[in-house]
Amino acid sequence: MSTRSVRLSACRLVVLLVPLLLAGTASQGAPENFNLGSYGLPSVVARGGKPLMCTVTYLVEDDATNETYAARMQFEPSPDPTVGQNGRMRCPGMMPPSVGEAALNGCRSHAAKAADCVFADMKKQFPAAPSVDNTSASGSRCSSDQATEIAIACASSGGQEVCNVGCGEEPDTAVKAARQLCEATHGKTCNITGWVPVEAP
Amino acid sequence: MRRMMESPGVGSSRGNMGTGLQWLVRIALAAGLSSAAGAASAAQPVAVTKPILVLPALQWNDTASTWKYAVLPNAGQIKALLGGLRFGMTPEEVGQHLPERSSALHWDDLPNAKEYAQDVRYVWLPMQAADSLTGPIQSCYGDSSSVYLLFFNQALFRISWRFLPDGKCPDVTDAAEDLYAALVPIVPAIVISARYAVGSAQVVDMTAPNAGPLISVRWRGQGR
Repeated sequence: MSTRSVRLSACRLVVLLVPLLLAGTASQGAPENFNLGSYGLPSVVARGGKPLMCTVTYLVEDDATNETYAARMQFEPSPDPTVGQNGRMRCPGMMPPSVGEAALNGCRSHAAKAADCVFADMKKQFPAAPSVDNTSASGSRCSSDQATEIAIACASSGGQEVCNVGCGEEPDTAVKAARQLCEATHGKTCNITGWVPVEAP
Repeated sequence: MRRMMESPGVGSSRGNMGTGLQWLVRIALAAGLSSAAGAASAAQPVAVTKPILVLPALQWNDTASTWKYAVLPNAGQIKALLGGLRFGMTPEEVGQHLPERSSALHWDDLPNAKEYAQDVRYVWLPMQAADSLTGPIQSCYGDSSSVYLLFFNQALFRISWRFLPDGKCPDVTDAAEDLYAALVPIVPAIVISARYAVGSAQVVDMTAPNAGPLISVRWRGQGR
């Protein structure tokens, strides 16, 4: 192979790789939005050489005590347990309302009143009308086929916290997504933050 | 367990300034701007870590119509949290697990817990003397903190940890969170747990799931 053809091949390789490298950088820096499905490719997924089952984790909040609970929901691998999407087990495309309700019930078993438990992703109207109707079940969950971490970011408003939820491949990206959403939604500095892995350790 | 952290602010970058600029800053501070700088520093947002308590995971079937608990705690974990006690024990049986008590426990001798409408009685012990019931607690609590063992129909149905602050430990929130975080992952069919504040005190209750209407009753901070 001549020097010229080697150079040509190298140039072609660079041309092919540059968009991929730039795409990777962009996905690291940009906030990830679960609902839009804008995640990059997932990273590690298997333990013991076998893909893990799908876990969908909800964050729910006891509005009276400002206690945050993570409710992990695991789903049987189906139909073929050895095959996943991008190495991860697929999660159900649609989540029945009963799953979100079960997450709320997890909080309710610790709360003084059932009405105190709400989804942790709160709409703009929540401070004026704090009820589960002004929270989002779909915005309060992250699924293991698309994210590794789930985070919450809150602002304190007269003793009551208003919060939003974010998903990400790293704790920092999940917290950043939650914080950006919280500050955009509620117009306050959302510097009260926390995160947990989507899957059980 | 809310850990406050000063956000990296002006102070951390000041070391990169040139020598001349450093002197200008020092002169400005000496000229009386120090109070303004202090106010600006105090206005920096303080990052607070919010604890997230993990509920027991649910395992759903492939149509997401029914679920079961993914993992049940083993008997050893429960025994460790209950310090060898079991719900349903009589006062006499509980007394055998409290070696620091010099006299036996009898239902008729126990005082009445006034926050309940029912005839609920209790025995209490200082938290510092309740080693077997304080395993998960790593943070400080005041000397007057105590553990209450509550009985209904001569059966133990609730253990109530009451964390009180004092001069040495002015905030007992972390201690209550330490304990509560260990109780929340236990399925409510085995133990029902709750945490709440009564003034500056923090309370963590661990209640038998078959306690019915007694479950929702909370301490109101009245006398022992």
